[in-house]
Amino acid sequence: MLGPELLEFIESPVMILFATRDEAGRPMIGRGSGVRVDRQSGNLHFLASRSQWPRAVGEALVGRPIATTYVRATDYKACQIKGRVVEAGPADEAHRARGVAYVAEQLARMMALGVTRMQLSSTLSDQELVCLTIAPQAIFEQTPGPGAGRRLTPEAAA
Amino acid sequence: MIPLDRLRDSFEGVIPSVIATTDADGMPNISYLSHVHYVDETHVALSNQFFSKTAINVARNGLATVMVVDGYSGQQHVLDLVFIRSETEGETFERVAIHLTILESR
Repeated sequence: MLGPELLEFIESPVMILFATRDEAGRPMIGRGSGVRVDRQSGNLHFLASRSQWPRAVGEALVGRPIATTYVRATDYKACQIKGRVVEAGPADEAHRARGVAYVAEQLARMMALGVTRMQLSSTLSDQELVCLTIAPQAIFEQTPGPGAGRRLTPEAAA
Repeated sequence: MIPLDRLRDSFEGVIPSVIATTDADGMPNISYLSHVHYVDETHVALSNQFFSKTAINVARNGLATVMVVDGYSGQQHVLDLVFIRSETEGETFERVAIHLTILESR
C-alpha cells in the first residue's frame, strides 16, 4: 500500500503524531518516537513512549483502529496513515535503538532552530518505548491547502 | 481538572496545537490546527476553516481531544473537549475572527 516515496518520507526525520480512542469514542493523542516499515508485510512498526502518552498507548490494543500523521517541518508536507493495530508490546532492542536515535535527532533539529532544551524537555521521550505493529488501511494527503484530507489511492501514494 | 487560565500561554500561540476526533466507524483522525482560543476557565473555541473531517466527526459525537503547547516552557497539555455549540456571530466569534485576520495579514 505504501509507495517508495511515501515510505521514504515517513521514515525520514518527520514529526509524528498518533491517535487512538477508547470504547466510548474519546480520542487519545500522542507523539510518535519513530517508525519503520516492514518491507515484506507493509506493516508499520510504530514507536511511542508509554510513560509520556499513557492514555494513547493504553488504548492501542490489538484490533483497535489507529491514525498516524507525519509532518516535515521545513515545508509542512504531511500525510496521515490509518490502520489497525495487529501487535503491541515493549520495543525490542533494535526498535528501541531506532526510537532513541529518532528522538535524539528530532531534539537536535529543534535545538538548531532555536528551541531551548527546557522547551524540549517535555516534547518527545524515548522512555518505555512500545512498538505498535500497524496494518495500513488508508492514506490521506494532509499538507495544508486544497488537497488536505484527500484520500490517496495506492497508485497516487506510490 | 486544571483551570484553563493556568494554561494561558498555550493558547493562540506560535506552536501549533493538535486535534483528534473519531469517525462513525470508530477510526480516529488527527491533525494540526493553528490555534485554540481561550474563552474562559472551562471553555475554548476552535475555528472551523478547513478541517472538514474533524468538523464532521465533532458534529456526530460531540467529542474532540486537543493538545496545546506552552510557547515558553514547551509543556504539553491534553484537553478532553465536549462540543457545546457553534457560532457565526457574537463576541467570541468576532474575537476569533479578528485574531485570524491579524494572522493572515502577517
